[in-house]
Amino acid sequence: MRFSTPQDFNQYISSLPPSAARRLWVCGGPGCLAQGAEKLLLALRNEASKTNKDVSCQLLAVPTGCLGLCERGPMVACQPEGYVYEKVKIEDAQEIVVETLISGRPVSRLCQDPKDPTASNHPFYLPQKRLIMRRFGRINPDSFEDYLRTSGYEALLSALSIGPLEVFSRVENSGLRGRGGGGFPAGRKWRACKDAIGAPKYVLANGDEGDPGAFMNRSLMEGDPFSIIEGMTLGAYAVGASMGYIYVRHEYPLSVERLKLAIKTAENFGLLGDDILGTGFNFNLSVIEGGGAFVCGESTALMASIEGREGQPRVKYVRSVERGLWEKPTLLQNVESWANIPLIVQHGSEWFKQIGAPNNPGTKIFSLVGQVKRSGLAEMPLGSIIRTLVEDVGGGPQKGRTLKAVQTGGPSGGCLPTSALDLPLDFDSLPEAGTIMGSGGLIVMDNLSCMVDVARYFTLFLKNESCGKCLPCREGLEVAFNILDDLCCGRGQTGHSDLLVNLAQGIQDSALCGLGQSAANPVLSTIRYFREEYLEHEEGFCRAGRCQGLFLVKIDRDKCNGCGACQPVCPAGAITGREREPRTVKVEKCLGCGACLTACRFRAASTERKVAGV
Amino acid sequence: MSEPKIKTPLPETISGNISGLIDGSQVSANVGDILLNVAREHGFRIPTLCYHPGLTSDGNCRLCLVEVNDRLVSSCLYPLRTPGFEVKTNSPRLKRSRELVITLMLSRAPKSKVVLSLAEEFNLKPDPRLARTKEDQCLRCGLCVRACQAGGAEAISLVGRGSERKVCGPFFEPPIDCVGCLACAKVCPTSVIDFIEQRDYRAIWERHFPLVSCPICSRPFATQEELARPNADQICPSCRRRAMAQALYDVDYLRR
Amino acid sequence: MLVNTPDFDKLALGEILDPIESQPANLLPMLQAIEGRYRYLPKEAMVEVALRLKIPKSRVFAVANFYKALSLTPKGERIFTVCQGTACHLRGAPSLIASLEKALGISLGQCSKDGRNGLESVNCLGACAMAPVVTVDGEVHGAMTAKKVSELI
Repeated sequence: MRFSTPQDFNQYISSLPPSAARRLWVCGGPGCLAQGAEKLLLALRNEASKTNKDVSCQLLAVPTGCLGLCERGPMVACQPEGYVYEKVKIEDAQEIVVETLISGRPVSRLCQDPKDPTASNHPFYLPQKRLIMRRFGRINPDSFEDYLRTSGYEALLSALSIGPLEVFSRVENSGLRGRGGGGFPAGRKWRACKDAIGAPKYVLANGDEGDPGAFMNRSLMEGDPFSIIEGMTLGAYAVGASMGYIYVRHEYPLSVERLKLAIKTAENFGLLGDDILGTGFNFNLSVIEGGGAFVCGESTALMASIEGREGQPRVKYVRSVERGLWEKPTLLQNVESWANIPLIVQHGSEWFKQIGAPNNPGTKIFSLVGQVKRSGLAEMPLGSIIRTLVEDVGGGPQKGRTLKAVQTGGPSGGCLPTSALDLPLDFDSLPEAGTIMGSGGLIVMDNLSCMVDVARYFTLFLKNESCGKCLPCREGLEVAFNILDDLCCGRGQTGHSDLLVNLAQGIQDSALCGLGQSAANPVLSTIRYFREEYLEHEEGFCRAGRCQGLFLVKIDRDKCNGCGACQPVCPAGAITGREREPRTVKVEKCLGCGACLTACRFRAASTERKVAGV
Repeated sequence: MSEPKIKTPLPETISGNISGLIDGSQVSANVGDILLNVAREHGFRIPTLCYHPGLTSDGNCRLCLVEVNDRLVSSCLYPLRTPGFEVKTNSPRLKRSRELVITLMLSRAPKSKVVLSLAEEFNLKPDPRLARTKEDQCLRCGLCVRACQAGGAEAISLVGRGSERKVCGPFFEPPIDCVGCLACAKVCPTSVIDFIEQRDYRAIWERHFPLVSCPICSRPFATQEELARPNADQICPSCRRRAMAQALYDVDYLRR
Repeated sequence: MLVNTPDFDKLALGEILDPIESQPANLLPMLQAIEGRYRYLPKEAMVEVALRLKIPKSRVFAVANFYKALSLTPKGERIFTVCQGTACHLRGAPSLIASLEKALGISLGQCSKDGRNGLESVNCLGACAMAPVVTVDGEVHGAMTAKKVSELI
C-alpha cells in the first residue's frame, strides 16, 4: 500500500486499530539472549496457546537497551500495566501467562521491589530520562504500525507542511551536538551541507560503533530502527540530499537485518524512494555493512569504505560537508544524532534546549559497564553528574571492592579518578579533565583494576585497529605498547613513564586522524592521575594485583573470616589454614596471579611488594 | 551506487591572489596553492619524506607538519584558501612532533641515509629503548606504490593494517602485473627495494625481465611487458629523439 | 560445509557474484559475499573479482587484507570467538583465551589441523553485562569461566 499524499498517510495513521489489549515483551538483547530469552519466549507462547485465548505474546528482540538492566535478565515487561520482571525463568512462564497476560495482575516476586511492580522507584531507572529509548520495551521494532502508534512519522508529516527551511532552522537552533563522540554542533554541519554546491548530496548514518563496552547504537538500530530512518529523511529534506546510507558495523548482523526490513517497509509505503508522499521529494536509503575495522567509525574512513576502498582516513582540510562521499556534499551523523531529529522537528528547538545543560542540550545514552553492580544502558540528560550514573543508576562497585576509576569515551578517551566523580557528563567539562565523552561508553573500575594494564589494553586495541597509513600512529602505538607491555610483565625500567608521556604527546600532535590523535588519551590520563602506579611498575610492583608475578598476596588475619573462598582457586596451593579459621599465604609458593584477590569478598587479601630473592 | 567521478568545484568566495604570513614574513599565493610549495618557493625549510612533486601527495610521514592558526597540518596537502593566513614552520609543538616522527623513523629504518641525515639536522639520536626486532628499513611512505600507479601498472600495493602493513604483490606473490620499469626502486627514499639492472635484463620483486633490443640501434632498452603497454614506444628514447629531430628537417624521413 | 581445501567451483562463484553490480564501489560487498559462502577468500575468487570490476589485483588484495571480517585462510567448522571488549577484559577474557588455546591446541587466530575448530577474538559484541563472553558459531554464552569453557568443548 503506497501513500500518495500526506493526507492519505495521516488518514491511515488515525484509523489504525489499537494494538492488542495486553502484551508481554521479552527482552532479546545479547545479555538476555545469553541467559535464555528465546527459550523463555517459546515457553510463554506455549503457555499462552494452552489457554486458548486470543493473546499476543511477542518477542521484542531488542538488545540490552530495551529494558537496560542486562545484569538482571532475562527481563520481561508488560503493557499496558507496565510491570517489569527480572531474572525470569522458564518455570515462571505459566504463572506469568495466567496472572499477568490474562488477568493483568503482577507476579510480584519477580519484581525488583514486590511492592513496586511497575518499577516506578527502581533505582536503576529513577535518575534516567528515556527519550531516545522511549519505545524500547513498548514496541516490536519490526512493526511499522507500532511505530506509527507511538507518534512515528508525525515529524515527517509536520516537516512536509512547514517546509525544509523551517525544519533546518529547528535543528540549527536546537543546539544539538553530535552524539558520535565529537560533540560538533549539528546545526553547523547542516548549514554547511545545505549551502554546499554539488549533486547528489548524501546523508550518512554512522552505525559503526566500535568502542569496546559500548552498545548504545546497537540497541537503537535494533530497538527503534524507524526513528533513524525518519531522522535521516528529515535531514535529507532539510539539506537537499537525495541519497543516504546507514553504515553498520559488521559485528551487528541483527542491526543490519532490522534496518533493511524497516527500509523495505518504508519503501513499500512510499515513505522512501522517489516522489515521497507525492511531494516530489526523492530520498533513497540503503544499508551498508562494514568489514570489521574500528577505524571505519572515523568519518573519512567510513566514506572510503563505502567507495570500495580500504578504510583509511584522509586529512580534512576540505570538509566532507563540502566534498565527501564521491567528492559530493555529505552530511554524516551518528545514528543516535539522527534519532534526536524527529523529536526536535516535532517539539521544536525551545523544548529541546530545556533538556540537558547549557550548550549541551538533550539526553545521551550511556553504556555503563565494568565493575559496577547494575550494568546496562542508561539515558541521562547531558550535564548529569558522573556520580549519579555510577552510584545511583549503577549501584556502585561490587561487594568487597572500592571504586578506583571511571573510563569514558572508549579507546579515544581517558580514565578519571574518583575525585572527578562530581564532574558533569557533557562535551566541554570532560576534555578539560583529560578525557572525552565519546559515544557514551562509561567503564567502571575498582581497586583490582591496574591502571597500567588498562592503558596497555587500550593501546593494544588501537595498535591493532590502526589503519597503518601515518607513521606516528602506526609506529608510535607499537613502541608505546611494547613499553607498556614491559611495564606489565616485569621488564619495567626507570624513565619508562616519562618516555611514554613523550611518545603519547608526540603522537597526539602529529597523527593524521582522530583515532591517532586521541590514541594518547588512555596513556596520558592514566599517567596524569595514577603516576605512582606507573612508577611502581617501573620497579616491578603491581599494587592492584593484576599483572602476573608483580606482587605477592598477604591475608589480614583480623579481616579474614575464614570463609575459604580463596583456597581452592589458588593454582599454586599457596594458601593454608583450616576450615573457618583465618587463612595464610605461603609467600614462597605465591605466583602472583591474583585469583584469591578476586575471590575474596571481605577485603582480607591484599598485595605487597616482592622482596628481592623471593 | 554508480557515481561518475566529476570533481565539484569548491565554492571559493574569492579567487586569485591572497597573502599571509609564514614565520612572520609576508608571502603571497594563489587560492588553492599547496602550502608546502609556497613555503619552499619563499625559502622556508620544511623537511619531507613521502612527498614527491611528480606524484599525488599522501601526507603519511607527517614530517612536513606546520602550524596554521594553531592547528597542525601537513603542508604537502594543505591548500591555502583564506587571506590573512598565519603559518609557523617552527614552534614547541612542531619541534616535539618532528622529533617524534624522526625518532620513530630511526627505530624502523636505522640504517637509512635519509633518516640519519634528518636526525643529524634536528639533533636527534636513536633511543635504544625504542629499538625493534623488525627494523626493515621501509617507512611505508608509499612512494613506490604511487609511482607504480602513475606508471599505470598498479602491480604492488600497501597491504595490511598497522605495523604489519607492508608493500608487496597480490597474494604475497611476485607481482604479476609488474612491467619491470624499476620506478618503485628508484623513487624509494631508503633504497629498500632490491633490484638488478644489467645490460640485457632487469630483476626486481623476484621476477626476471629480459630486455628487448631497439629495432634501430639494437641496444636492449625496455622489457617485453613495458613494450606491451598501450601506446608504448617501440624504439628506444635516443632513437626516438633522433627520429623526431630528423622529421623536423627531412620530410622524406617520415615517408620511409 | 567448509573443508580445508575446497575444490574451487567457478560456477558457484558466478552465482554469488552475478547479483552484485560490477562497479568499483562494490568491491567490499563482493568480497563479503564470497566470505559468506566459502568462509574465506580463495585466491581464484579474488582474481575473478578483479576481472569483473576491472581493477588491479593489487587493489583487491589490499582491501581483502584490510578488513577483519575477511579471511585469507580457511576457518574451522566450529569457531570459538572470545570477546575482547573492555568489560570482558576486566572480567578475565585473557585467561579464557589461554584456557581455550590450551584445550583446543591452537593459538588465537588459528584453525586446528583437522579443520574442525577455530579460535578467534572480536572487539565487543555488546553483551557487556554478561562479561566475559564467548560465542560458539554465533551462539552467545555469557559469564564464562575456564570450567564452563571446557564444558563447551
